[in-house]
Amino acid sequence: MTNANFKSFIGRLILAAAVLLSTVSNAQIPISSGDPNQALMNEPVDISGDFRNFSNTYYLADSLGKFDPATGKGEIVYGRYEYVTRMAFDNILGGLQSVPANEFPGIEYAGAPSLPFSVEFVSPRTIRIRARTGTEVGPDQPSLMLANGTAPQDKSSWKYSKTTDGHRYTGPFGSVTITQNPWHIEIRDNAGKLLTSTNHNRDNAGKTFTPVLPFSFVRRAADYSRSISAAWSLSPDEKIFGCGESFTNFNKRGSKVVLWTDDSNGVMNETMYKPIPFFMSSRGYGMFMHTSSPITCDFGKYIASVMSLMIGDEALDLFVFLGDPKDILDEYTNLTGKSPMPPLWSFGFWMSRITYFSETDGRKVAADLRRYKIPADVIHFDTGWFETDWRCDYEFAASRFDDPAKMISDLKDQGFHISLWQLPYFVPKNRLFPEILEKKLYVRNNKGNLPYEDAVLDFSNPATLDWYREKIGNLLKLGVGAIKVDFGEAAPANGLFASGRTGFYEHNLYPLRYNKVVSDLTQEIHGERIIWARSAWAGSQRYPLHWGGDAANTDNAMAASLRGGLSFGLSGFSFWSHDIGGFVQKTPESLYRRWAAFGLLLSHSRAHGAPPKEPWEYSPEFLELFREADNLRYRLMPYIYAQAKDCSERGLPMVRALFVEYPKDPGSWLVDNEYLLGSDLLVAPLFEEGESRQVYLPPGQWIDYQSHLTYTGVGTRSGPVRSRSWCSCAAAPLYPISNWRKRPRTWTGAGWS
Amino acid sequence: MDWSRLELMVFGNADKASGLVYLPGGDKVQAVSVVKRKGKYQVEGDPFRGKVRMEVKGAE
Repeated sequence: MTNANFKSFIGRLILAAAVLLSTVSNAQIPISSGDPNQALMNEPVDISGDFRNFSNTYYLADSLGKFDPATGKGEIVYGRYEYVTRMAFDNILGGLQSVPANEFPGIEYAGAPSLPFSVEFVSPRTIRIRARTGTEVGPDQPSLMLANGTAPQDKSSWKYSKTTDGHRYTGPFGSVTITQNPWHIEIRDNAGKLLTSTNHNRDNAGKTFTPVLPFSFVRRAADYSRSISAAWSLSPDEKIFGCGESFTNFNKRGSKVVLWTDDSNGVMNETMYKPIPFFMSSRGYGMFMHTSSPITCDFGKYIASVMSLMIGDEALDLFVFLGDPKDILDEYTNLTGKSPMPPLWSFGFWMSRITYFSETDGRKVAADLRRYKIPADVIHFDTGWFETDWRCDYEFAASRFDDPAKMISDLKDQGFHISLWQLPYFVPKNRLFPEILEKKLYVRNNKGNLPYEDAVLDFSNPATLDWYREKIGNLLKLGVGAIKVDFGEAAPANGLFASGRTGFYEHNLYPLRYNKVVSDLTQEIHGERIIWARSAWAGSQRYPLHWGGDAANTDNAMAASLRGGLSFGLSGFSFWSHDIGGFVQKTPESLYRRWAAFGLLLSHSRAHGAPPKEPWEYSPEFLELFREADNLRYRLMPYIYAQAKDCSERGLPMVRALFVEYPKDPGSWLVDNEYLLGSDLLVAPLFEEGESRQVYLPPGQWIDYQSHLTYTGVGTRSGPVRSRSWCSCAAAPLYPISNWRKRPRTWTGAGWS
Repeated sequence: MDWSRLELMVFGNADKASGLVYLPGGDKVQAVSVVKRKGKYQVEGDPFRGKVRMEVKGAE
């Protein structure tokens, strides 16, 4: 292929990719304006409508039935309600009204059932609350979300006492009180301050004209399936954070958040590649909703005083964690697993674009990285390494790669690890498509057929795992360092899986299974925990790492990327990256200059997206600034590496919200446009063109990393911006710095030499 | 990158500063402290027992 032909070929492929992405993007309807008559494939499932439906029956938690203090097990007595309307002065409200049972024969079914619930203790800081809505088949199964499959039990830290109207368990960091009638669970800190309490009908009736659904479950008229709404009180000034890589408001108070893995097609909308059913409150507690079913959280959006955790599952399994943000993250990741340390080379710079197509491309970018003195440890081949762009068959294109093994080996000798893109969906033209169908390795729809035109691998099927492991294993054994675990958000919602469950439970679990199989295999073959994944669910943090999806090349997308990264870090994930410069188009140089200074100060740094992304393809001034920012990263490598290890041991994020380090500082809870890299390096990216920005400084003394000017917090400073972002160090800490020098004569990489 | 030679950069002018160091292949993160003696920072204790040469620099 001549150079001119090659460029034309790239142009056509990029154009094709752009059309594809544009089509998908235009098809997306925001979930807030979803119309049931315009359902589109793989739209997020928002179950909140089921909790305000005049056909359904509602069971409101009313009083405590029997209770055994020794085991913490008892029963909740529920009352039966339905929605009715009331009109007054040209206004109609829909509210709940107690109703009698309607079943026949009446003696066969409970009109107001008593159903099991329990309070257990996992650790001195962690409480487990469970409630059933009916008969459950079989004992607990090991959970993929939990680090060891099951939750431990702490039978010694919590002491029981009888109260005048119920029961109390007191531990070293707080207490749990269960009241008899009305039924409540109250969570307090060790000073006795009420952190939150379940909402009972009597908390609302007569006290507000606004109809409120209290702690309850719904039985749908359509199929008699049931789901719980765990309603808890919110307090004035309380703030909520987490829920995964959420790009919308950092503080979720006042928001409705749908937890359903979705190909967000961007980073500025409300759907998420990586929803996580965990959040923390500024009031000193966190909650983990242990389920893979769809969840809708209303954090005081409908009414400011109540958060409603509407959980699709037919049982509630809720973990409550007590403490400051660091305690909560440590406890949550004790339960669901901490992020292990990725290999040292992965902390170096990753050079990528969509896409390098050939061995020639790979060798050229390697040579250019060294020629232009851009420190880098990884070269990523995206969608173009197959014979047909995007058509993943796990084979290097024979027409464009003379000897993949030798290429990988040669590049390794030059200090580069190779990363390869792939995905778990197979188009009908893929040569593997017939085999996947013949061996029944795909997810079926509820009629037993293919749900989509694509075949989607069923990772709950052991035979699929064997088949997939062989494909990925061959690449890793060839010398590939990391696999890009792309997509994974589109497991059919109504699909039938080999696990025996439907997409109702398997859709959100799909990313976790997908992350796990590639990470485990990489660990087995290379002894290293490294993948590059887009989708995630609770527990995926055990399989680092994840990047932020397809950001637009705009200031707003850059700012939203940080909000997503901060929220993701507050959801148990230590490591995170994003496409430096944005993904969709060629990055404007002015934006790329600012974004590089931001993106090179994350746990992991990769420039990726529509070409060109290579810094030498921009102006000489840009190349020098990029080189400077990249060299700063390598000079800081001992700091980054030590902080990363500390994060992996404590469940802390590398990209850290200020309030994690400064929980007593009210201002730190409000900041979503700057972050701490590790514990001490404050980074304030420049999200707009200009020479300065306002920077909020937490308490203490702060020193500009480059100018060494000293500032004293608390407060907002308007300071000059160097290297297109503002870095400042908390005073008194010690920074281990490498002896890295710009423009080294010989490449030694991030590794030990 | 030569991990047997590290610079320890102190920000501010406190009499004592501490930070974390983790070496490739190491078992755990090590806390490293420096104290100011006669106007110069010196490493207090050496968790690496001479394996790593640590040069302390101030950034006042």
